[in-house]
Order: sequence, then C-alpha cells, then structure tokens
Amino acid sequence: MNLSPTTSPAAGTARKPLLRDLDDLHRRLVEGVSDYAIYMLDPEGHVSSWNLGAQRFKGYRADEIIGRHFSTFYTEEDRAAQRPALALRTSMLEGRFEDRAWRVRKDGTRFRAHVIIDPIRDDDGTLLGFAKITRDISDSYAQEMALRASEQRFRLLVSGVTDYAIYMLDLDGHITSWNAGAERFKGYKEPEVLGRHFSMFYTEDDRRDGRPALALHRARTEGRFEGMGWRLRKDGTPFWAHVFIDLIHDEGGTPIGFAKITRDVTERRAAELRLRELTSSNQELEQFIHIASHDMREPLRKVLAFSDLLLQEEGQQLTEAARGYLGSITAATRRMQALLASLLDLTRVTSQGRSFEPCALGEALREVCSDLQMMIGEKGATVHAGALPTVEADGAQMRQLFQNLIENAIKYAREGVPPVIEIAEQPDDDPERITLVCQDNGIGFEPQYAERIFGVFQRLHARDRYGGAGIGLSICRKICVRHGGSIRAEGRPGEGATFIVRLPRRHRADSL
Amino acid sequence: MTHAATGLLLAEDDPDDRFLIVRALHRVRPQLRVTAVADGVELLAHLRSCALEQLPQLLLLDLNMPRMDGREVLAHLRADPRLSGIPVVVLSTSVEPEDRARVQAAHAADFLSKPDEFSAMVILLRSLLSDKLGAETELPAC
Repeated sequence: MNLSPTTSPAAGTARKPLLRDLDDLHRRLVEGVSDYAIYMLDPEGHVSSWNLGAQRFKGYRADEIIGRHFSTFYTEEDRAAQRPALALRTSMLEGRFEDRAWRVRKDGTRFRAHVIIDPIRDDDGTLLGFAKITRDISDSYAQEMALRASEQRFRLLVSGVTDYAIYMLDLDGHITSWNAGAERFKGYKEPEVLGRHFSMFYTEDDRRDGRPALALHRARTEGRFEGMGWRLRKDGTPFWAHVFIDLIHDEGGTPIGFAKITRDVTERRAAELRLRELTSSNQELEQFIHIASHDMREPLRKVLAFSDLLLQEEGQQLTEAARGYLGSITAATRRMQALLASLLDLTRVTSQGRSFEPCALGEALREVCSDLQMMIGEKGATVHAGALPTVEADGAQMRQLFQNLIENAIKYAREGVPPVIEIAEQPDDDPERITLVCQDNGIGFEPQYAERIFGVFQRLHARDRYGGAGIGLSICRKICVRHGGSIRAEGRPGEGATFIVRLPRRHRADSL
Repeated sequence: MTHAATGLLLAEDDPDDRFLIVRALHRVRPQLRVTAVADGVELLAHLRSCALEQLPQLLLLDLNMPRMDGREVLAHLRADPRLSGIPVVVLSTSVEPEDRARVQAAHAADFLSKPDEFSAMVILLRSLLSDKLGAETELPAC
C-alpha cells in the first residue's frame, strides 16, 4: 500500500482541487477502516494521524494520542530493548518493517499485533514520516499456539507411546517416522528403518502372497485397513500383531501417506487360546464328574439293597457282630452316596444354570427363610435381613447361595448360643457391583483357613461333630464365579464368620 | 379271566435289579404271576405273542435299557390299541427331575424312583400293586 501521496502532512499545500478531493476520499476511507489500525508517524515517531481501527484496537481516541510517541504502544520490555527506535530504523533502511509482537492497549492489556511500518518519502527522498498498519491477531495467534501446542503434545505422545508402534509410511509404503513402541516391538532403531519398505516386517510367506501391497491398497481405497497377523522382529522372532493402516490426507484432501499403528497382541492371543483350552477341559471335566457320579450311584444302590436284603432275609442267621458290619457297610455306602450327590450338585451350578434375569435379592432371601423356617425355628436362629438390591442373576442360584450361607451359619453355631445371622448390602467402590455381607455369631474359624473352607469336601471339624458333605460353600463360590462375582470369608475362632459376596449388577449380553 | 391270569410284566436290563424287584414282588404277593424280560424289544415281542386274555395287568418298565429304552417302548405301547390300555409304571434311577416330567407328560405313565433299600422297595411295590391291581386279602408278612 502506498500512502505517501495522500497522507503526508507536508504534502498538502500545493495540490490541485481534484487531487485534494481524492486526498479527502482516501482520508475518509482510511479513517473509516475498523479492522486495521492505520495511522501516521512523523519522522521521530510521534503519532500524527489516527483511524477507527486504531481507536478500536488500542483504546485511544485521536485527541488523546496524536502527538504522543508510538512507543506508548510497546511493552515496557520492548521499550527497554529500544525496539521502537529499531523498528523505525529498519523501516528506513530496508524500506519496510514487519513484525508479530505484543502491543499494549490504553487500559494496559496486551494484544498480539501484526505490524507493518513503511517509510514515507517525498519525491526527493526526504523522509516525511511513517505509515503504520497494525492488525489485532490475538484470536488467530491463540489458535495457532493451541495448534502448535497440541501438535507438540501429539508428537510427544506418539514418540513416547511404547504400547503401540506408531509410524508413518509414504504412499509407496516406505517408513518415514518411528516411535518408541515401534522400536520396542520390532527391535529396530529409527535410523535402521527410515526409508525402507514396511514389508520388511512381514513374514516371507506373507510377502510372497502380496499381503503388504494388499494392505496398502485396502487403506488407499477404503481409508483404513485393519488386520491381524504374524510380524517379524529384527531378531527374526515372530509376534502376533493387530494392525491399523490409515490413509492420511493433506489439508487439500490429497493423500500424502499412511499412519500405521501396530500392537503386539501375542500374549493376549496366547491367553485367549489358553482360556479356550481351559474352558473346554473344564467342561469335559464337569461332564465327566456328572456322568461318573451318576454311574457310580448304581453300584452303591446295589450294595445298599443287597445289604438290606441280607439283613432282612438272613439276619436271623447272622451274629450280632456280622449285623454290625453290615451296618457299617450301609453307613459308608450312604456317605459315598451323599458325596456323589454333592458332586452332582456342584456340576449342576453350570450344567443346569439358567439365564440371568433381574432378581430382587431381598425377595429371594425371604423365600429362603420361609423354606428354612423349620430349621431356623428348631435351632432358635434369627435372620436379620437389610434392604437388598436387585441384580441380574440366576434367581434359583441366588436362593441356593442364601440357603447355603444360612445353613452354614446354623450348622456352625456355638454351643448354647442361638445363631444370629445378619445379611445386608454394603457400599461398593464400583458402581457396577454390589457387596453383600453375611455375618454370624458362630464358632468362626482360624483366619488361615479363610480360603480352605471353600474347597470341595474340605472340612475343618470332625465329621461326627458337624455333618454334611462339605460342599455348601464350594457351591456358593461356584455360583458367585458363574455370575462374574466373588465370595470370601473373614473370621476368628469363637467370634463368628463373615462372608463377603460381590456380584455385578448387570451382565453384558455375551457374558453368558 | 381268572385271578390266576393276573400278571405283571417287568422289563429290566440289570440282572441285580431284576432279581431284587422280582424278589420284592414275591414278598408282596407270592401268587402274582411275574414275567421278567431284559429290554424293550423282548417286552414288545412278549406282549405281541400274548393272547388277549393273557396280557398282563401291569407293566413295570426300566427307563434306560439297551436296544430299546423305556421311552420308545411307551411310544410303541401307546400306538398299539391292543396294548395301550395296560397301565405302565416306569421305574428309574434317574434323579433328573426333567426325566420324570418328560415321561409323565409324554406317556401318561407313573414314575417311580428305585429305592436304595430292599425293604423300601417292598413297601413301594406293595402300595403300587394295591393301587393298580386292587387290594389283596392275603398279604404275606413283610
């Protein structure tokens, strides 16, 4: 912009009327511009004209600022560094001064300014002053800084990520960047891979099958490629990779390369395979227990039946001792039957489990108490139930859980002390889970047995004192685990036992 | 039809059980004519070879048998107008409640679990026979 003919204060005297009109037009134009501060400085730097934009950005009216030195707009630091004088000298010597810097408004606040200072000379080259154009670029500056900061953060993030290999490819598949995760998974340092083709990480078979090119083709045509496969580390060992390749465009939409994200999921894959094997062998085992305990009941029934037949039909010919032996045979056989029945009960937790539906636990507990009314009454027991939540569960198994816990508490009551059982909900840190606590005033147990009591057929006391097969708590645990929950016990001898049950409130559709 | 013609047909593949059941039946009604066969095929063959007046008054049927199990036997019986009227009692060791429900729903047959003890078997069969064949005046002491 050349303002010299119109704005030079010394140039107005000997002008033709037409030119003066034009001057006037220009002056009005400049004065009216509000998006730019456009004003004049005299050769020493004093403000000699002012426009609307200048007033808007800097806060001064014309009458407040004309005649004052333009260093007023500079920060104290810049003034101390002689920047105003430097700006004028640069403008004079180089024909223009341009800068992006902080400037100060009348109210003392700062704004980011884009500044141009042009020297204005007459036809002889004598300096008449300076034209100064300033724009407030605070908004775009803030955006730019934010962008720069986020780019910086992103770069730091990418370069620091070690769980993912994140690197860039050019359109032909040559590696153009590398991060810490890539180095960790693949074993190559950045200089070893830059410029090389990414197919170097593929197995020979995959390269022969053209998989690298296929992946790029898919990314190029569909915008993204996702896949799993074996990749090779520098030392030749394979790892199972989960790979994303995204096509990257410039601002104009032209493809410029690919972003490649690779994750080493070897361990996850191995864990999934192990889990699948375990699940299937677990199922086989359960099936075996089920069939075995079913089939073993048959011969036991015969032992009982023939023992009884012997006693019934030939009992008179037997001695007292022989009849006693028969009694022992029968008792042992009955115990064996009870063990097998318990095993069947245990396998039924999974084999006969029903789907999870909303189950009001308070209701389930009330039903159990009513079923156990006789036993509770006989033992003089009291069951206190707090308000219990509703969870998605197998209702029959929730009832079995409560029943086994209550039966356990009644069975292990202290002699002469009526059992008191409290079942209540307790706050859980996880909003997706609930905690139930079942506390009794029974004989308790040594803390080191807190796990053992959940074992199949484990008992801490002699059978003749406390009957039962020793499977009730195992079933409790199996029910909790089947629901994706847990159960543990706390206790001390003579101080009662506390069972803590945690269950999820809901189940995903695929968790069954 | 004379009283002597009253008979019971038992299909049971396990020889021990066959022995125990026949023995218990004998204890309950010594004069009851009991025929025992080892599976469903034999049972149907026997029934089809019987003259009408020789048909048994009651069938005792084990559920799990080789060749033809109790369920198939029931289906055949229900499909045969000559045999469909004979009352059937299924004797089983199955403890699965759904087995019982299935048998009762599908074939309108009684379902009894084989008891563990001989004396319990005697008691069970006594009440079963008096229910299905009517009371008998002379019951031998158990």
